Amino acid sequence: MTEQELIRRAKAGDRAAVAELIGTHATQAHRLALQIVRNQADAEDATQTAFIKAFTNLGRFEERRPFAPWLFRIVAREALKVLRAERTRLAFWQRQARVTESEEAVESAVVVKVEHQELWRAVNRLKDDDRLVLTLSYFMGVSEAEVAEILRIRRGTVKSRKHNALARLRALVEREFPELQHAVLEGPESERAAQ
Amino acid sequence: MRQNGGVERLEAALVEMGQGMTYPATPDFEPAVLATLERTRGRWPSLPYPRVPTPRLILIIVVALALMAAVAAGAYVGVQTWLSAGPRGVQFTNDFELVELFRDDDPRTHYQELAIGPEGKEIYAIRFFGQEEAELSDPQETAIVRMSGLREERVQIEPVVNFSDLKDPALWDPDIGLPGIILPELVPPAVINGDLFLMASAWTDTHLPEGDFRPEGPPTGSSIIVRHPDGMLQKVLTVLELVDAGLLDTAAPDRIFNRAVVASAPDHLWLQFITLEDVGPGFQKIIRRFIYEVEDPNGDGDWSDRTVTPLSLPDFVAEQGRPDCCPFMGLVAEPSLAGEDRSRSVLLLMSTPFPEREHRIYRVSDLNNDGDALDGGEFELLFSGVPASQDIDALVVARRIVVREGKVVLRELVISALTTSTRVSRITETGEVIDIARAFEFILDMVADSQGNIYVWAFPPDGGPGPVLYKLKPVPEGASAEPEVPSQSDERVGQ
Repeated sequence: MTEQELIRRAKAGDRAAVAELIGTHATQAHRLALQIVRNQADAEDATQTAFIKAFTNLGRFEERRPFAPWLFRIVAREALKVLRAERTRLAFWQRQARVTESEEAVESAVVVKVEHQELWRAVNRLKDDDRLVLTLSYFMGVSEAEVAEILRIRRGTVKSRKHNALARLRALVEREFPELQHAVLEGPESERAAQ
Repeated sequence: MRQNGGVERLEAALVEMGQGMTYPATPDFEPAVLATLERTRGRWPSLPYPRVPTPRLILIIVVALALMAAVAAGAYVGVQTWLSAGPRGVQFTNDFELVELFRDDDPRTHYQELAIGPEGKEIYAIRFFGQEEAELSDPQETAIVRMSGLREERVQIEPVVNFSDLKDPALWDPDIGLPGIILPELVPPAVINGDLFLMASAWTDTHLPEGDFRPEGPPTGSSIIVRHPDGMLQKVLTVLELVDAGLLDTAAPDRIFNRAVVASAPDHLWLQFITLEDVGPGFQKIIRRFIYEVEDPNGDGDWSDRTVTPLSLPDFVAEQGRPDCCPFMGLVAEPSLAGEDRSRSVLLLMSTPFPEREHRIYRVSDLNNDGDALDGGEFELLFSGVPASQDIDALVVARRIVVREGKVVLRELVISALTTSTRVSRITETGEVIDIARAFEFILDMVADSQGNIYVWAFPPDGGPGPVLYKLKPVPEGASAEPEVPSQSDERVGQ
């Protein structure tokens, strides 16, 4: 059965079609939420809320369009909403009670290899918008057209956002992660050029 | 060339990292999602798009239009109706207009602890400022700022007191030496008749620990300082002076976790310190509340002759166990307006412990000058209510006393996050709670003036990156705000 047919059935209230759509997209949706909120419980909540909102509003979705970008847009929005609310509360309470955010808590949801941990820390220091565009482009394997669809921006804007995010990551690495510079900024070509 | 090569290498490293990531197992979303959809069967699926109009659909549209007409008519005959500032905007009742005054989209700034200025023309706030983001704020740039232009609805912001300028040793206890870092305590400044009272602490450290916004140890001194209209600064009182006078336990300064300073008259301040103390093993803790009346006895604005009187409170307020909550513990001054003298009383906020969790607002005074608030009429319950949210949402209370033609025409309280965490409500003199604005993402602060305007500092529902200063302006009697576009629920997606 095609995705269009599944969506048509889901719109008509077919539970099996809804279940199949959830099964098809759950892993990617959950991973996207994890990348954004970096917390298992919040990611689960955001993904579940996104599915509910997506299916509640499925009547507004044109089935000839691809479903995944539309769903991922809702997931990203929900996850960012959770993140912003958490951050606001935390900022408020940090100032009130002098509690500090645990870096371990932030980084526990997604496990990266030991050799990538410094780069992962650097990525997590970026602002949400930068992190989101890099996550979609490099970690989720989403095409540029799909990123444009998810973020509801033009493809040209995806390019510039990606470029700016990479530039900021590069500057951050140069400034605060000197041990990473050789590995991620100075490739073999520049090494040869230096020689 | 090197730049491009670097970026390519960086991209390759990101892809490599992405491929090596391990994620937790995907939860089974199907049962919960399907169960929720079943419960909301009426809304699922929503109207397909596009849909050919049917007689039934036409009937629904006609009924909806009739309802909208009724709502509009209701607005004009004084029925309270919800209006919206637009899609994904704040919603408010039609007895108010909503004006967005200022949007703090600059990640380097962070404003908090708002206080309304004399005659409601300006708001004062503490501003933290960092080179990249406010969370890493620079103490040199921390200031109390004035947001003027509230009446004209064109906000301009200027610093009034820079905390780094408070280095005059005369503002501190004599034995702390020259202060290094000086930071505000998180209490709104008290502003009255042009005087501005603030609470600040000093450390001998000259640099903050990396990534922190306060030095590690306790401050060497904490002072209440007044800034007069001519810019002159004067120490009013220090925490150590309270200790030296035997009005505060010697160990208390290190245990203070909540403070307040409010002014009920130009010569009359109220102070509150709340300490958090361990009792017994484990995590048993209690909070102790200390309140002081501070007066300038001859009212000449020179606080060197100030008097301090501690106020004994009923036991259940003075000492509370199980302090597993709660931001609801401040003081609120009542303005003395139109001949009503409120200088000798202050409003005290308290909560009963979880799980009963009830918020109460008392008016506290010492009318017979015997040093306690235990006699008749000295401890008066103005309001009690159970908040909808048991979460840690910021509950803010503002006193709203409206004066017209020299007479008080309205006395009430305004409270946030009581009925839901996203709403602002009025509490009338009879204790009735009336919601007047909703859909704020997170309410940080709130103040009101004698013209009835309510200023809300909150994160907006439109997902903006920083808080917004909203003005809820009462609509004159006989007029009603025009309904704007029907609001779209925050829940709506995929538009």
